[in-house]
Amino acid sequence: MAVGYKAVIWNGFKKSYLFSLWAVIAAFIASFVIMTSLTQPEGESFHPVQLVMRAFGFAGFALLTFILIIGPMARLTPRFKPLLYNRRHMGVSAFILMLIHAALVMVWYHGFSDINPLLSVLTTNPNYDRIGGFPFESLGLAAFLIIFLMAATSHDFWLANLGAPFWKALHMGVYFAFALLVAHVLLGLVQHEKSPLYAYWVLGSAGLVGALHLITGWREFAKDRRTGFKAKDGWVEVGPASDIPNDRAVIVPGEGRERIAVFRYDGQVSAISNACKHQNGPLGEGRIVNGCVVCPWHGYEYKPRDGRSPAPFTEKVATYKVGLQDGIVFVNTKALPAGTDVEPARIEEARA
Amino acid sequence: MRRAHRTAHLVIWVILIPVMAIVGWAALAHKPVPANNEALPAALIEETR
Repeated sequence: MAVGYKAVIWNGFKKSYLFSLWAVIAAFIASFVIMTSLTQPEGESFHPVQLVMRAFGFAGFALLTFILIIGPMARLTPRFKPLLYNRRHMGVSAFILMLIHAALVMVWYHGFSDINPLLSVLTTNPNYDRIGGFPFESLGLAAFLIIFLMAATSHDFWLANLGAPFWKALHMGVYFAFALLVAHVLLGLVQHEKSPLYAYWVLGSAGLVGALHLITGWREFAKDRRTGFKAKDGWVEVGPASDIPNDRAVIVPGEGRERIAVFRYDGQVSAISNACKHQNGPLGEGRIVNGCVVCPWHGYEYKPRDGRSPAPFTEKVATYKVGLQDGIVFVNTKALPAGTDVEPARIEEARA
Repeated sequence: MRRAHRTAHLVIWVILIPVMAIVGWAALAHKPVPANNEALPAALIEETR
């Protein structure tokens, strides 16, 4: 949270998380090298450097695929939500794998050329006008540059200074990087590989990531269009207070581009913005722990009645007026300035 | 997540999915066919005739 910056705030969990992540990566690379060398067709033999180069490339692609399914899967099942916490560490790990792959390619194929290796990647094969024999390395380079930008700006320092909306928009570039990597493998390795396994792998990954994002994206879009919540004189009927699970929220559309998270807790109801200050995570999908709304993405906390983070943290989100009539919760769709204290609607008093 | 980002997500994937599908189809359609050396003599014989 915004009380100061450290390169990485290490703790026991983070260390064991990263150790486990890199153990899995190392096992993947070792298995890939062993399996590929054991299944090489007769008459074809790869140099160990080529095998390692390919292993690091595929490890980076597989990790990026996994990173990209965490977001939509966390929307489909809460089991994936814990993976959101340290997703950026996975992203930086994927960048390191791709960096090693790119460095090996540069040295092995372009390092001994008379021209600059970067220029060599872009100009050695000039067949940009055809599919067969397309200079696929340029696609990989473009993807790598995008991933580099993501990794370089992954720290909370950049998130705070660029602002969450711009930072999020910038980091959507990872989707284009993924599509470029799919094209990179399809127009490169798959062209010369006899086994259809790589084609299945890449197309399957692209299909899985695309389908999950499309399904969850459509569900979110449909939520916004849902007609169940109609504002009348600036107030939206949320529904019976008893329908809101205790320490949880119901999300309703607000004015303009906002959603409102209406929380029920300790026999009362409060409403705050659904967008967390950190990465615009969905606060309404979080729960109240120790009196604070906890963002399901990275654990940022806000008090439900004034939208302020507990001291010493300084984040605050917009709040909304709430009302209760005959057990039915109403919320005013006009956002109050972030951090405005709003008296919660008390369920017991309303019943009396 | 704000509405603009939700919409942007959806639009990006509506564009990227068909692009990846077309690239996949084109890549497989243009995949070089491995040379079949066993067929060569027969073809040459036919050519000679």
